Amino acid sequence: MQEISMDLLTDVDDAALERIAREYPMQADEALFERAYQGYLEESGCGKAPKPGAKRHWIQVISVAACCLLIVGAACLWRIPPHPLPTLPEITEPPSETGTVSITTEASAETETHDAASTSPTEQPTPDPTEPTISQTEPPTQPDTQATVPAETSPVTQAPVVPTETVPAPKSTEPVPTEPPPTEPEPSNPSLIVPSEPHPTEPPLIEPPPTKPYLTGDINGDREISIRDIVTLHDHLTSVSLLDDEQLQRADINEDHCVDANDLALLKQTVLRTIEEPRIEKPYREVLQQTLGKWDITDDGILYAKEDCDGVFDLTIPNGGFCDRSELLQAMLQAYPDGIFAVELKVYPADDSYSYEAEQAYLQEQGITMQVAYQGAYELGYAILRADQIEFFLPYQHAGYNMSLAIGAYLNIP
Amino acid sequence: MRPESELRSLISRSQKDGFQALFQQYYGYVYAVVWNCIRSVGSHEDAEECVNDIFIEVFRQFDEIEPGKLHGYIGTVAKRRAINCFHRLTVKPQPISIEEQSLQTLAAKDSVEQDYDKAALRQVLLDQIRMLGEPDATIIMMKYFYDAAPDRIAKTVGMKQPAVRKRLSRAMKRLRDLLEKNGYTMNGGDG
Repeated sequence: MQEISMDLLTDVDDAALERIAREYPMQADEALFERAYQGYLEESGCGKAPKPGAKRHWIQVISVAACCLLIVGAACLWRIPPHPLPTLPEITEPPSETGTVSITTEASAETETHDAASTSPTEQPTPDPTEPTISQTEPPTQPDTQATVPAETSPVTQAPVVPTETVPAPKSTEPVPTEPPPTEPEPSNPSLIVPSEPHPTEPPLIEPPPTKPYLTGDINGDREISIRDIVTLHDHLTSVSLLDDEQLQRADINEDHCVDANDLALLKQTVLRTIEEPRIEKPYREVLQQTLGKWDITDDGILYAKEDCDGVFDLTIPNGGFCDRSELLQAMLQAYPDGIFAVELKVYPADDSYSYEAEQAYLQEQGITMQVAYQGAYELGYAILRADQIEFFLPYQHAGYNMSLAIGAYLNIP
Repeated sequence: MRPESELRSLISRSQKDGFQALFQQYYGYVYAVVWNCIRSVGSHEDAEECVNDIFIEVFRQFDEIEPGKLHGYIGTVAKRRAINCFHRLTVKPQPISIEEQSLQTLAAKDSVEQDYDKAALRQVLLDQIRMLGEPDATIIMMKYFYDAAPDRIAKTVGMKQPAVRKRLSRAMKRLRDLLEKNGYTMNGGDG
């Protein structure tokens, strides 16, 4: 008989190489192509290729910057109180002839709207109810203090210092009683609207917060993040069917402007999280009994095999072997993949004379441990594992001994 | 697998999409060529770096490649670059003294006849691995040709790592049985 070694695969000739590459190709992911394409563009002097989502990134930067500016401006205006008010018109006044100031009383606002109507009919009227909130927020005793202490007048009384203001001082003493009823809606911060008013040609500084018109992760657009999205993304990553630009944006879950396996992993986690909740709440007792029928669940949530009176499921593996040959064990693991299982290895001498001390001595002497996938969680011959961590490779070389696995499944342990 | 003409027309319509299709189609081939060359001295990261360089060169030279010769061109570039990569990764060799007996090492280790035998046995081995079906065949090739880590194998075949280990063990046993039925014995590969 001729000998064949797996080492034949370590240095293959061209014909075999072609065959291996054709039959077992390594999968390329998106990021690798992007890297190569970027390198090509840079070397060929075409500059950098636009990354997917780069446009959106800039929009986000601009909108954030605009929001920051607005917040700073609003904070300045809001804290103006006594002295800085004269500077207010400089901020709010437009350089053009449509120079009306929005922070006025109701009466002055009327004149403003007239001015605005006469100069630029297309301009939106000043929202009057928003303006007097500064004086509205003042306590009712404010007019008295204004009269006696000029230095501490309300912001509105400071307005006449600037000649271009249309806010007359006498009117400012009256506004409190003539204020519009409080039933009218008022924005919490009127100064936010003030700066945008005198610049009708500029884009409004207040932009709506950047909201995504889509649900991240909802790749197929059915307004639901589900297993179908996982399949769609998987097909894309394996080049079965590629996503379009919009789908790519939806699939970029970690927002690194690159759709790759990381996004797939996150998507899987998301979907699993959504379906995990109802699965735990499901009456697993009935489910297991329907699917298996051979198991019993005690009140403390421990799953036992019905066949065994000692409450454990003994799987005898003569002369070593794989316990995954047990259909029962496989069914149990599949039926409750989230179960926490206690697994114990027992070793019986051939004469079936079992004793704990003899077993421990034998295990230590032979150096037997269960080679489970999860390193570190098991002690000698004993493990508490999740279903997906259970994997037994018992040594073959212990002929003459029977080995047993005692397995109990503990359910719903966090 | 797209024919070359289709790739070319795709590239003429949209360069990026076309190159992406070309990349996806030939990545496995290029990677296999590179890995076969540098596996003894390099890592998968080295291989990916080399594959990256190869595709950059292919993209750059694409207009110069004669129609019908794309596959051969890519293969040639891949082998050449892989050899360069191997040399780069290999420690600088010591000067060889002609008078020393170590000169014998310069001679080819295997004769042509042995090479032929190896190639024949390799084809038998590949045939039997193929007969195992999926995903066992892929798991074995990922393990023994690509020397891939368990997590990578698991990701490729869409299974969990413990399941991959189990399947690998069972697949190796089946492979051993298959080879024995055909009159071969298998050495090693117990992993």
